[in-house]
Amino acid sequence: MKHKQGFYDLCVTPTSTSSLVSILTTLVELGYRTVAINQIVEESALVQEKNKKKRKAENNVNPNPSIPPPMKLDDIPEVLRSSIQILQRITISFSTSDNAHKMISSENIKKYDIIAVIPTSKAALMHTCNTLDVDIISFDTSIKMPVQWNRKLYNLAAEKGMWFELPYGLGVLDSTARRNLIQAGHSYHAIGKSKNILISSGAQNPMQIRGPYDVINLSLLLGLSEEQAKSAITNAGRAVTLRAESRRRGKAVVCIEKIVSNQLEVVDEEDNSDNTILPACKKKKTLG
Amino acid sequence: MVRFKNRYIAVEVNPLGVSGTKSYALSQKDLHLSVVSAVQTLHGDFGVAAISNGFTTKYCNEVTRIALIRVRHGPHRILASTLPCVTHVGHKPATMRTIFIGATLKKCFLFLQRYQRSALDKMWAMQRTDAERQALEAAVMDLTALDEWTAKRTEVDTKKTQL
Repeated sequence: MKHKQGFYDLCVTPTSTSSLVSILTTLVELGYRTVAINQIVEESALVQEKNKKKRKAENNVNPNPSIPPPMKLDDIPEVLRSSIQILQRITISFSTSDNAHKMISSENIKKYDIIAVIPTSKAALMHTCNTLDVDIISFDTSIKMPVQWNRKLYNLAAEKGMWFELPYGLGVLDSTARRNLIQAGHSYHAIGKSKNILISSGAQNPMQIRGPYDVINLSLLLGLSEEQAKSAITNAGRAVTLRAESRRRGKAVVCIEKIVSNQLEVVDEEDNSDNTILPACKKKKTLG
Repeated sequence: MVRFKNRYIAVEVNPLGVSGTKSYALSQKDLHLSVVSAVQTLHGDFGVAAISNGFTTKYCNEVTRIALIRVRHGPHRILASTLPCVTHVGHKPATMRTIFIGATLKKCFLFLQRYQRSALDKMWAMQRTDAERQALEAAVMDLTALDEWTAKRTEVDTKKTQL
């Protein structure tokens, strides 16, 4: 897995491909180099699917319909794709441990790079901290934080390497969302000294995205110090991607990937026909 | 004599739908009011009062939409944390992007010169003739507004010290 230098925005929630392209263009302009495209799954979706199943009486083709497959990236221009690293992320909102288990064990979830959860009840929060293996614990800024954190749970989650997300996207435009965001930030500060905080946009359109230095200034309001604020959009993002990677591959120190690419084979063939000049580095890659 | 420490914040004004290298006309007053009202909503009366000493704004360049804000050191944190929350400039939806925070006007000016130069390089690709290019260079590198602003400020400051 390659890591690009620069800032991380590990949550954008585009509504369509065109909005995704405009969001990505803005992010690249502002200096972000890694982005995760988010899909939110509500608990209600699961319940609806259940009802449908009952009605249709075992007529389902897809074994786990509640989790949608990741967004297709074919329509994104090549220029954008080469300048920013794109990850897939799923956010699961749930209130009981049963539902969480159903969603996490779904087949489609393996296709995502990063898994995030939004616990909406005390039981869900306990379950997340104690048993689930997820990367990010997020929350919804449009409603008041439904769960009450305590120091024990916070430290437990932090020790397990989970990150606490503060999505600022709605907060910069709407006053209520801003209040919820600041309240959450301060409660994290009061309970766990703002350990393991990750700041991302959660943007649905380019208007909600701010430059990295603006985000740092904004996070001073959320109870972070300047250092913490900066690491919340740089080091934190890197840590989350690394953690997600290790969750998928198992614990490892070094990861060696075999580069199998059709292009390189083509290059080899062309090399024999001596009318193409190749950059030196490509030759080396094929040799190694 | 202890001098006042200031912070000069260079921002780029991005109205909705206007990005990259499009120009945008904006009046000085609208810019000032939009920043103050954003501070009012986020930090209330205290915030506005804290920044209002030594607070001035200047819209420098319409082509690259650069504006400069001067604010006292200390309350500049209040202002800097508010800038992401600016959603309207002159009754139009717009965002502000911080590009530089400097302690002296000179450093800020030097930064802006370099910044404008790099912006110019991008814009030149679209121009065909040399005359067009020169006209654009003159428009982009025009930071006279800044000079006038500096001159005016120093005049005011010297008057104050004389009194």
